[in-house]
Amino acid sequence: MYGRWRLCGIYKVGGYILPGSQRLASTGGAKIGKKFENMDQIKNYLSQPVWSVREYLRVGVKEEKLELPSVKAVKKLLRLSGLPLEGADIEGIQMRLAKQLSFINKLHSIPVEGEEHKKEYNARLMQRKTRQLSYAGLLEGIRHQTQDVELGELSGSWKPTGLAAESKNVYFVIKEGLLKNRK
Amino acid sequence: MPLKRSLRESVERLSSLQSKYNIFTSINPSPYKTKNKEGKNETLTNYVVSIKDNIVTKDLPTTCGSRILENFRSPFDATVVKLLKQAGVHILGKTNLDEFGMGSGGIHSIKGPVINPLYPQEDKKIMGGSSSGAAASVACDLVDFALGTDTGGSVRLPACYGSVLGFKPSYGRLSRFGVIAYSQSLDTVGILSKEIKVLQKVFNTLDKYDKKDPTSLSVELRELIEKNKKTKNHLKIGIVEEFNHESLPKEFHELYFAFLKKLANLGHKIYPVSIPSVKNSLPIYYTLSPAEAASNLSRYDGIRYGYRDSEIDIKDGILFAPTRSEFGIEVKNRIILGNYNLCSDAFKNNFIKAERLRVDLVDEFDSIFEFPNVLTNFQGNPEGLDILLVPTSSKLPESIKEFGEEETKSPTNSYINDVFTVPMSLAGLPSLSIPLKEKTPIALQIVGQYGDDSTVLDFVESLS
Repeated sequence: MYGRWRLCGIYKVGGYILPGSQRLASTGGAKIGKKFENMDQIKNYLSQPVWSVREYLRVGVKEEKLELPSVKAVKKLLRLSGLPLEGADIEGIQMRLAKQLSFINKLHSIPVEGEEHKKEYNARLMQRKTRQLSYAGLLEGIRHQTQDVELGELSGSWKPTGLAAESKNVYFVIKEGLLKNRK
Repeated sequence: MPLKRSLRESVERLSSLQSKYNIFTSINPSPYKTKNKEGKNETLTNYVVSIKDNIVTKDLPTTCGSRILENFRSPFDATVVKLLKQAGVHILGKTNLDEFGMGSGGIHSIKGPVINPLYPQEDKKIMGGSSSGAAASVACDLVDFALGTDTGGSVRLPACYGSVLGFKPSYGRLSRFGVIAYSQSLDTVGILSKEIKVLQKVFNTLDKYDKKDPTSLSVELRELIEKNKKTKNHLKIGIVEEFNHESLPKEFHELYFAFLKKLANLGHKIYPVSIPSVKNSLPIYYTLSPAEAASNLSRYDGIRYGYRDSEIDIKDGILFAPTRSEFGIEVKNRIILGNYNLCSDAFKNNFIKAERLRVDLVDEFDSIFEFPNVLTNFQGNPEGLDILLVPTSSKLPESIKEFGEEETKSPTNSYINDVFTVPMSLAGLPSLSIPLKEKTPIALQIVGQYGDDSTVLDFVESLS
């Protein structure tokens, strides 16, 4: 009985590749099988591994086949990241980034173009359908708004430069040359 | 419930255990000082607790295990710390962690790695990360419970390696105000303890709406969850096909099977279940979380707080690069990858795609649970399950040396340690890692539908 469910499971999710494949699952919908009737069925189920985490590492694991990002691209990323170029191990970063990208680029083969998939705005774990704001409601909210001392909303309740390593007369200090040399 | 130990005992044992296992980043010089001014509603009087060092505290430094925040002291307490103080706890210290919560081994800290106390000290086994010190403080019986944070498994994996309970509640149930952000759509405060009853008490104390946290679950939705609750003596339990891996430790199967037998004897019903999207979880996670990390960590410029380079603010024409060069290697790796994913060239192919697939994953989880999901408005599957069983780790703890060598070969080698924990993080589901045998680093996660934390906790309590 359970064997039948298992076969159904594999056929049902069309893009779900048989063991040994290097592709990940397409999104085919989840399914609950029939209740296990005895411990032998459970044992049998657990004795048949479906895949291995090593699958994630298979594609492009040979370094010569990895597509390395260019030196120019790595330097651009270092700039965007606010990290120095001088002393940076560019080759090492190229290699690490190539391996990271080989790992996450496995998502590229999964189709998500249909209307049913165009819902990335739901990716945050927040309430999907919220009550509409009204003008009256907004005014009411403003009327009841209070300043919270713990959020530093009360004027003079905190000193902005109090935690700065360097400050002068309650101003932050940025060292000379910053504006002149900025790219 | 009687406490297992006194604060005095913990303080006496602290110094020797700290020198052996490197559990804390800072130790509270006056743990006796904590007072509850109100004197009422003390739900955790005299409990001894440790706080992960990415949760801010007024009285102790908060470093995130990073040179970038060395000596940083927050002007306020995180909401969860404030609630614990009001409940009457003693804070023993701040616990070591992977820098900014990024890592699964507990080795990436400016203070050095945490060593797993389950093994002889000379073996130098990893504790798992990133809440490595939190798990070690519980495993050593120094505290009654520890607060950690879990972004992709950072409470559950070290809890497994320390053979203690590690609970990641539903996303949004515990306040994140004062938790230093790594990846804000995933970060969750978690609780580690050896006692399920302690863990339940702590959860009940902290499970409150917080207006200071924009992702805090609203009062209205909390009330809806309460209304949806049903008491059941026998649960419908799912074993997920896609978590049936060949790479699981041999010892796991025997313990797991014995556990399932116990559940069947108690009258619970067990079902096979397939959730195909869980196979996409790791690439989704390692696309989204570094992107959020790159954004969150862009605030560390040294100008307003934290470490600052004493000489210059600009290098190679890059603002604040001299200060930011002090991030550790793993943090730098993830910032660079995150910025790659956010660049216009990769944004649609990587980031948006990962977000769409995350939604698919949430919807697939929804479809197999009977309990409704108040976030997605899913009304519940009448034929659905109550909880899922999922292994916590695909490996036993390695030595610090082996773990480091593997990670040096490729950063992705350590990413796969999160394979069993990340799917629940992406969907925000409550998940409690329970050891399958005392003092053994093999564990199973009990997973519930979003918001149904009490079913998970009550189920584990019913087994104790």
